[in-house]
Amino acid sequence: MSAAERSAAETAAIGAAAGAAEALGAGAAGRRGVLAPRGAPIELRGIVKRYGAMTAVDAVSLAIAAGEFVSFLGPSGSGKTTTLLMIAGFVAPNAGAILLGGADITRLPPYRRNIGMVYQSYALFPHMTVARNIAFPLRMRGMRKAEIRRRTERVLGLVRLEGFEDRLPNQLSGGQQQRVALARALVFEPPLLLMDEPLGALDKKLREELQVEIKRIQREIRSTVVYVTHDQEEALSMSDRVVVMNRGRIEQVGSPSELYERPRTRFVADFLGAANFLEAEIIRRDGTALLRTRNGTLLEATLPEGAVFGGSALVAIRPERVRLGAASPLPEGWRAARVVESSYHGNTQRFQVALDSGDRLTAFRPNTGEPPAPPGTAVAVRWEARDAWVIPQREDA
Amino acid sequence: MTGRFDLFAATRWVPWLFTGLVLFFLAAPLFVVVPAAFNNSSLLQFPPRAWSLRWFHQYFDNPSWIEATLMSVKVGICVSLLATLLGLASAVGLARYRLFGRNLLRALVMAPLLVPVIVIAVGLYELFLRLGINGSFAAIVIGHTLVTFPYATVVIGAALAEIDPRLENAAVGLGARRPRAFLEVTLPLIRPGLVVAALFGFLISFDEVVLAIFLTSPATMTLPRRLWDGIRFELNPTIAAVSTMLIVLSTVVMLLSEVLRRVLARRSGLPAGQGR
Repeated sequence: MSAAERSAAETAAIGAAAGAAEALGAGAAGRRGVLAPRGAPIELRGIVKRYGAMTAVDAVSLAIAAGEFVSFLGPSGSGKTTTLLMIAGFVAPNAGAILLGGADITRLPPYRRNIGMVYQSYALFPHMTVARNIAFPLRMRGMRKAEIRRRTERVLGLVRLEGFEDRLPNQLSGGQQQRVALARALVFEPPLLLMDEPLGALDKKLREELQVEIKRIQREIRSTVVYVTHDQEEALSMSDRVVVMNRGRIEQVGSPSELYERPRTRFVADFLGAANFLEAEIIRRDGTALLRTRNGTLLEATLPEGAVFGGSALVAIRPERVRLGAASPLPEGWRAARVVESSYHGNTQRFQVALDSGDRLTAFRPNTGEPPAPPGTAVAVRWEARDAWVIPQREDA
Repeated sequence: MTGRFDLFAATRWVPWLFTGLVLFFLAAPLFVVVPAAFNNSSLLQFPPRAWSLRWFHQYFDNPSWIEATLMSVKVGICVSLLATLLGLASAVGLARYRLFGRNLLRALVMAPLLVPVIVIAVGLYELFLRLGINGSFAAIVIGHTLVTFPYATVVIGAALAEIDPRLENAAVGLGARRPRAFLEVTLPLIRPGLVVAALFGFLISFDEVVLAIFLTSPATMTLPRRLWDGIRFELNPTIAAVSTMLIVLSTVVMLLSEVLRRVLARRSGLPAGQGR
């Protein structure tokens, strides 16, 4: 990139931030805690990162709208954190471009990107008080003392840590530290906030509490958020859209319900929640499809639109959609089955059942206080055609 | 089980005895030198028959001793600053950058610790002779810096290893250029290491005799060099008095460095064990 191009890109990136700051002065000054009333859109265009022979991120393209909350979800090593670090500017892509607010920031150093980032390790400066930590990005931007104090106070209110200004990070709990990290990442009103497994180090209760908190803050400031996690529940409950990554590629992008109800690949169906997979042959198709497994179970399933299938297909059924009932008399439309295994999970009971054909299914039943069904119990099993989903893409495709 | 010989219990005192002997051996010279300093006789006598402070007076009344002491302080301060700066630079370079031949570089930095000081002294003597700076203030400062900066590198390197390198990255992400991030975040966090490196640099220089013998002139005579000459030419208990004061100084500096390290570590928000 030439110097002229670079400065043009910088101007644009700074412009996006300035726009946000302007709007703050105009509309939102009255409301407590509102910092940047609009985020900027971000676009990844075919970004690639290779480490030697290993491709960590393989041609990832994605457009994220201003103000959107997008999660990157995937197992460790799937490339989600590398993607985040490329957006932040700490890792340089081998190919592709990153656009923030329409400006190409691919070659911009991190300190010029004006992007907020929250780390799993919090990365608070241990020798600075809470107030000094939060003031850091403002000092780096040459802001006046009075303005720094005003903004620090406001952002502390936003994360509900008033009165903690003079504490050192090691005098705070993990949850409080992460709130400070969040405040520090938000105080300079970045058009984009990156969060790298921010709740990974916290216990479950606190995690859930902060999930709600982060969503509240995001709604308040309407900033664009890119959130990396390997916790599927977190991704589903917080995001507008979820990006499932696997081996450096995007497996599927969609709203939480799209991903959960209509997974495009076996990986997505398996990674999000639990699923029963049945290998079956399509024997008739119109609105829904009629399929037969190798063992002879006949079942109806929903076909994705426009997908082309050969003879065989993979059907996914969520265990909580498999209903269990009393075996005798067998109700109309139910199948006879036998319990193979059952386990107790507090709020659910989980069963493995074998159909008469020999095909096995897992079923979750909310724990309503019914007596457990020990192995060997005869049961009736039923699921709806809309809950049996034919996965459009084969694993090897 | 009674009556059976318990080898473990019977030999439990052996490590204690061994430790005690080693400690005694290390401290034994002190037990001779310190009483000798308070000796009334004009010979180095042990045990002393009468007590006096005359040899301490001798030290303070003799300008050659005082000049040598001041020279040592001056050299020590210069060496301490230089070695800490160089140690900081090399520690950061070795820890943070994936340099080509990093291990070779590390070995080179550590080399002065492995080469006998007498060899370094002879080499420097030869070199400085050619440069025409033998016997100058610069010569002894350079010589002492050479042997102290590996220690500084180790101490500062250990402090750097204790802090999370992601902190500096976080600062860069928050809008600080790399040098600013280093000054604002990394440097304050390794400050205890810097202080220890500086104090040790001073102490080693203040104590060093071999290089001083080769590289100093009457104009740049340091205290250990003056002691050496004293032992060779006049051998009276002033030497013991000066040695006693040196021992006290070393002890004070060591204690000071530990206290400072703890205070600074606490102030930078690290647990007491960290920040070495």
